[in-house]
Amino acid sequence: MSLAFYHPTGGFFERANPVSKLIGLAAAFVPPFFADRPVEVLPYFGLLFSAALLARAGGNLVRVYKLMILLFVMSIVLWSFFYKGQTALCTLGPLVIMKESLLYGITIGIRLNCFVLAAIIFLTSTPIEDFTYGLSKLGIPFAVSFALTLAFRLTPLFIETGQAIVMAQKARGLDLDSGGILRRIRHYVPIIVPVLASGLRRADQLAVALESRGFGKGKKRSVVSEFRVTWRDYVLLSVVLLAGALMALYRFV
Amino acid sequence: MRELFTMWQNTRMIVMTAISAAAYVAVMLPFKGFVIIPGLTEVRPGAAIPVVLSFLFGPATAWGAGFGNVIADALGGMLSPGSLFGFIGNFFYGYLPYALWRAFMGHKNPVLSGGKGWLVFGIILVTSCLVIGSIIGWGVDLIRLAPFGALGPIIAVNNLIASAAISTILLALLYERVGMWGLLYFQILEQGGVDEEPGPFGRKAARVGGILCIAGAFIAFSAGLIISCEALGVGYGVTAFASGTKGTMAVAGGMAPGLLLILLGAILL
Amino acid sequence: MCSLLSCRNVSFTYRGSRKIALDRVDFSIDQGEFVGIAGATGAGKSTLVKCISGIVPKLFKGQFSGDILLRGEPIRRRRVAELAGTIGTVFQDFEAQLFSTNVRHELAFGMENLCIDRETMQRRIDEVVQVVGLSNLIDREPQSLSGGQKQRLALASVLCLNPDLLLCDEPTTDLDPIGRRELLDILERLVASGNSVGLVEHDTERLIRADRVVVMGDGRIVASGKPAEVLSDPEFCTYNGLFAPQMLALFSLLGLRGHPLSVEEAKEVLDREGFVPKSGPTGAEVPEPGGAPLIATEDLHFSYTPNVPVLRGISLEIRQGDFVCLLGQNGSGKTTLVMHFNAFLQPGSGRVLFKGTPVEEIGPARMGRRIGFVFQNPDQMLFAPNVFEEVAFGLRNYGISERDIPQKVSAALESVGLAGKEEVDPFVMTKGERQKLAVACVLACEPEVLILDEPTTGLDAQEQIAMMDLLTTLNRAGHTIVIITHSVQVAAGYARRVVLLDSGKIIGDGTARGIFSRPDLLSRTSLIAPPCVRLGCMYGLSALTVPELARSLERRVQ
Repeated sequence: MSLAFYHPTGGFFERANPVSKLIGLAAAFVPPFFADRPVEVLPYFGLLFSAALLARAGGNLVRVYKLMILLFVMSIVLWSFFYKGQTALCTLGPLVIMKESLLYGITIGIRLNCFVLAAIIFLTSTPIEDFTYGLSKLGIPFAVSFALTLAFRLTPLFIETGQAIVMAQKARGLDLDSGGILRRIRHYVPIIVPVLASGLRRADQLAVALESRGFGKGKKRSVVSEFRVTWRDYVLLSVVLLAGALMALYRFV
Repeated sequence: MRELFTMWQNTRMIVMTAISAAAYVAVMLPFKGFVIIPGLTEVRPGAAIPVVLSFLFGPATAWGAGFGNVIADALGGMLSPGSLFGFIGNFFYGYLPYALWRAFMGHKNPVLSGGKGWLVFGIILVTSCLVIGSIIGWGVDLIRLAPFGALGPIIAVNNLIASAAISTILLALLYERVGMWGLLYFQILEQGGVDEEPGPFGRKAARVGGILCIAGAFIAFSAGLIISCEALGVGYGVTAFASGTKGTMAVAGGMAPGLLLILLGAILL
Repeated sequence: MCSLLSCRNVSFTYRGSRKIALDRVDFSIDQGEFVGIAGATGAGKSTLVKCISGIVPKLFKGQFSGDILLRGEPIRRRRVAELAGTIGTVFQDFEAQLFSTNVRHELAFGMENLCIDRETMQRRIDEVVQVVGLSNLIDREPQSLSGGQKQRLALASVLCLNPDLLLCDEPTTDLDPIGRRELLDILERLVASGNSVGLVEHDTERLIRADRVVVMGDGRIVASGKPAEVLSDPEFCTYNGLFAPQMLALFSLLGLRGHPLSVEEAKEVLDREGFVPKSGPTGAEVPEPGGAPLIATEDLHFSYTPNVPVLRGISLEIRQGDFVCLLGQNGSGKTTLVMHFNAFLQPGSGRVLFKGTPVEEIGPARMGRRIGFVFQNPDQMLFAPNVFEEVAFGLRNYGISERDIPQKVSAALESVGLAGKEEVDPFVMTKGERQKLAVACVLACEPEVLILDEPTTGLDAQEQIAMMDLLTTLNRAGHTIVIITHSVQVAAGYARRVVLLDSGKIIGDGTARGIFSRPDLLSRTSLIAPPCVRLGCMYGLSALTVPELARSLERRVQ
């Protein structure tokens, strides 16, 4: 079972500095906010989509296309209710669909999909170690970024344990899919307790093994892989900033 | 709230943070739960995990719940500006239960503390669920990803159902056993020589902080609801300023005082 | 001369525990020495290792007294992390020793903490991956490695710190035979190149190659000396949770002196002493059970991911009253096969029948009452507040009336030897007891077949014998038993029928005696037969256990 989106390609994005990728990701989230109409956000979506192809994230896009469609549809539905429009477009039974609400929903839907694309590019090209390296360079204390790495490492292990436990309890006749809402949730007690207990049995072991490998010895640490700033980082950040600037100009001027 | 920062010097607490996060994701992701509206909302048993773990691992769960949410977003391909609010919301969801309990009940066993204990426990559950709903709902509304009126109540209600259904059963099965292993947060912190009395300004201030959090949760959440209903056209016209501005910043502004109360209370805890 | 490390009069009691964990222990390791540490569960081996590496009393609090000296210097004031470059420790649970999502970063982690410069890190990583044979896996995710590879990675990441003393606390317990062999071979090579190693290990066949063995019991050192001498008394070994090395046990039964360390050495001595095989059958041949077929698979194929077949045409019949052992390496498809028995997995092609009915027609839920599963790790099923509730859980799931439950629970507890423990919290029981409780939980539902996945893993010798005796008793009482194991000793000692699996195929199926008399079959699975079986084969005997072999050898009358 593969959980992470990362796969090594050696491409442009993978070889960029994790710090600039993190900044780039955060910056890439901004421009969609300058757009209020579908036409304004679509070019940016196109830019991110081609970047995703450049990052060879195609396979990962296939994995999330359902999510992207879902986000799009949900945005239209939700904002049709919560965004007030003036021009009636059509009526569906008791509901009146307003033109402005619909357009707003579509805009938000594309905006959300822009986020998905930006995130997929980042996740496809960045292993977790690079991610936490970037966080450390941005001033997050090592203990904190390490806890995040460790959590990433433990997650598939816990999921595996969870699956084994489900199997073991089903073999004892546990039926997860019967009963009403409260009963169904309570069926998970025999699964959650062993999952947590197996994690707890490991807790001391983990702490001990960590300290025996010098964790917490002192404030100073060295790093095995150092990233330099290259032309890639300048290109990456300039493109994001340029796109943002153009959209801001269009919006405010 | 000091322990939220001092805990980073303790290796066991760092491990507990990672374990909380991984356990949260492992129970949250694969077990789909009970679907109420397909695609939008379902009650997941995993939603009870931060509440339960908060009583066990305290500050480690606050960070762990936040991290867990970020990991779940990353694994789902949904890392977005909303993840920031997901982090903050889950952080409070993992922080408030133990911090509120400690302010009012000390280190008593949360499921063996009699009538007063059950009352406090119930209030804590409701408060924590309102807070996570308010923070995430407010955040995504602020950046216009989804309206508060839809997301806030959904998150609050889903989490409340899940944690009301199993948190007490889980704590009854886990609390004493974890205590026996010496892995309750105050045991770990005490072993590491960290003073973990409630609140930076003493127990009384912590109780005031607790009350601020509880009040703030109700104020923020109801403000959000009322303003959102206004946008839906079913409000009562109490929030006159909302109607004129298409509701764009109304939710954000209207909820701010309540959220500030929560923040202030959290600092005192 | 001053030892590399010495403990003087060390005692320790864990906080909150009444039992003393270490009781006035004197222990030392010299430069370049290979010391084996053995003993029953709870004897204090692990605590001793933790004391040496400073984990006790720094991370585990309690009452500590005595002195621990490293090259004559007391280590008491130094933090665990500060000792990291000097004393390296490898632990049993390999999953809990890996923190990274990439092998290279895992190896670097310790060195980064010690602030070692990048060139040195790179050089040491390159050296160490050679030593442990992980060079071609350097960019993999630890999660994608096998158990043996993970443990070698844990060892490698400790070696990167270049410790003066390497401690290994049961590093092979969770590994399969190949993984175990590879790890111990690496440790022996390290010793040969001058490293000092302290190894906690159950496998006495390997411990006899140590320079010195220390046996612990109840927090004390009960014996220390040359392995061949310390481990030569089988009764002493069993008492201390160990299986005596088989050749030593054989010599002790035959009343011979000498401490042969290998099968070849033993053969030489036996020949010299004039021992020959007795005529007649080696041991009582077990009759095939004549019961009706219960489970049958027909040409079963299965794969989790396309093009990676896990089962490749399994046809197998399990009869009422049988005691079957599915033997094979990890990854041979044993567990996947039994998962088909109660329709947990759907066959890719082929059929699985229970008493002639395809199991998917019966469905996993109802199959659960017919086939009881005890999974490898009992902790993956225990959750209830006490033993009674734990056993009752399954009964309630199957809708047994509340009135009948107490009687069924006590019957199940009685048959596994846990009678009267209804009120005990399963979480405070020992591993052996938890394993028995898991069996009771399944037995209570009165299944017709009992399937156990690796029932002896992680248990010491006494606990293993107790577990297997329990299964034998249940089998005599009429239960059909199927166990999955990679332990050749367990298969040889207890199974009536052995089914040998290799890469998803059955390569041997017959009585234990039949299978083990054909070394060619075992070698195809890269499992190694127990020493007594191998020695027996040299005489043309098909002895399965040491007593059997002893009985079938006699001195030639001169």
